[in-house]
Amino acid sequence: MAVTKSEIRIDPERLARDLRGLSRIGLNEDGSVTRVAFSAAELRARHYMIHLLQQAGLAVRVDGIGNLIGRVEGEGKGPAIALGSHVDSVPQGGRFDGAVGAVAALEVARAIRDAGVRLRRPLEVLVFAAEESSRFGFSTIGSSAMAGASDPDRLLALTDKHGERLGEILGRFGIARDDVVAVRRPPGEVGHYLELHIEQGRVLAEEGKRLGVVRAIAAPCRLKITYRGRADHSGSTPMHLRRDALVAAARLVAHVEDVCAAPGAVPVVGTVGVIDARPGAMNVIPGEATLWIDLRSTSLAERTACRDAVLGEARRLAQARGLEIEVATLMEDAPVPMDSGVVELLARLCAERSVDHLVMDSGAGHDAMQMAHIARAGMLFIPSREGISHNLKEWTSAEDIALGAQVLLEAALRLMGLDA
Amino acid sequence: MRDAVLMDGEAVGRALGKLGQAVGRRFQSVESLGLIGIRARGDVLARRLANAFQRHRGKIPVGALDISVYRDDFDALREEIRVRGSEIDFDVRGRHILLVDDVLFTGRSVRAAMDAVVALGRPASIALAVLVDRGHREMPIQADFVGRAVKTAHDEQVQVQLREVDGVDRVVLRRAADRGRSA
Repeated sequence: MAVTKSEIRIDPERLARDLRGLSRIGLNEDGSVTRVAFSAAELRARHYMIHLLQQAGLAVRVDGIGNLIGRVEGEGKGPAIALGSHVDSVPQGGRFDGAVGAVAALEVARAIRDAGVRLRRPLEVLVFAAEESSRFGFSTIGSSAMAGASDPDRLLALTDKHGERLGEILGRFGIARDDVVAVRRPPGEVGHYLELHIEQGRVLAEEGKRLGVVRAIAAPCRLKITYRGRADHSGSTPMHLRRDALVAAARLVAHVEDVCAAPGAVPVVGTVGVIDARPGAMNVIPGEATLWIDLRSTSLAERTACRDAVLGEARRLAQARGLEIEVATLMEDAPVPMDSGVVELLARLCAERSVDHLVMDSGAGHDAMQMAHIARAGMLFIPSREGISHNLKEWTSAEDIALGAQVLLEAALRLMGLDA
Repeated sequence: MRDAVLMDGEAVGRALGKLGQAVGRRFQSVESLGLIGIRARGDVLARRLANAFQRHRGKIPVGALDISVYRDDFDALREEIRVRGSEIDFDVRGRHILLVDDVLFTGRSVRAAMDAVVALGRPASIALAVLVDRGHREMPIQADFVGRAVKTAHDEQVQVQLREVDGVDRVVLRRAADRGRSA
């Protein structure tokens, strides 16, 4: 008898066990995890994933930027169906961000193997390097290299706060520029890319839905703005003689909120997450202030309008206050729609199972937005309790993880042409 | 060549035979045994031991462990390290694991290896077999099975060469003064 999709089930216990095992790597005393890109903890997490993938019978290779590619060949040569996510984390992050998708992808591969399904197309499990921007101020490094969406030299020149270049770090592992260039995979090698991820927001929880089918991923525009004025004595410099860089920065923070909060056709969110004021003493007027601004939307036009408004005000403030201004664009990716066929398939699978679901946008960036350059990409969200993420309180129920993994499995089978 | 040959091919063969027998006595049943060799020579030795066992006792799963990312100085490392990756395709949970390495020196590699294995799952036990124990421990670690114990000075190097990688089986002692002269 032919094996049909309905007989194939992921094993929730095995999935939960391996997620626990992964959580122990980089675990902090307070229960959060720190697996910052290319740290020992993140490499140990990859070591763990390699082991589980090998145990599941996948052939595993590590590409020139540290992405893991686990693969099972199919009977047909065709383009692969890839499932994946990442295992790096923000400092003191949660145990589910990325990890859920990576372990779920592994579990899908195992469930398919255990059921003895003959693959019509190759199946891949991808674990991407450096998805989080915490270290280099640049997110989805591994997947953007794979998709050929970022210039390898730009990636290699990325620098962390200790002034260490990504190129130097890779060099220590014997990885040369050519290896990084070779990470790029041509379109056609990966046919579909599916990613299960925690929502990291509270839309699903508020709407009482169990699964989210992502329609589009908002992309960030990241600006670094530095004001330079004059560091003077806080007591002996009258107000009208000051060139206080931090006051301009503070007014710009408020402006970012005003611009983004103004109603538009498509929402834009804006955040100033970091301000650095120098020299940083109570009795010295800040002579220099740097702001890191993050603007996101699923609409490039709306986001660009907000960026222009923010930059206009930033320059006006500089001029009005006699400050020098320096603007650097750290990142300016276009929002990415998910493949309409995949969105439709995921929504249909939810409907068939009578799973309460929501077709929604993703405010956060994900590896799927890079893979969308070379494959038909789609994403499934599972609820985050209270919408909390990048935090030790991040939590998603085992039932939701299992449900998400099961739908991921069924989607992979459907794409393989294995309908019941 | 100033290197002193500590063990020739025959001596290496004898030491491995001795190791194999001792391991065989300890593990009456090899059913739940797994061999894990520490790269880059321990994995070769583990494979040889597993092959020797296979003739008499049956197939034993064998894997290769790259301990680079478990080194205690990893985050401070600035020189180049080759991460070749581990290949362990069996479940370590509940299994008796025999770690195999070529030389036991400070014990730091073995500590790293134990951490690396335990991160993959909780084994029933971990034992250690080494071809050469050269002393100078910096950690409270001892081998359960030793092919040969050798007295060395701290600044000497003990190099195990194996057919599969080096084309020849032998153990060489490289004296500190010789290193200076040949450099």
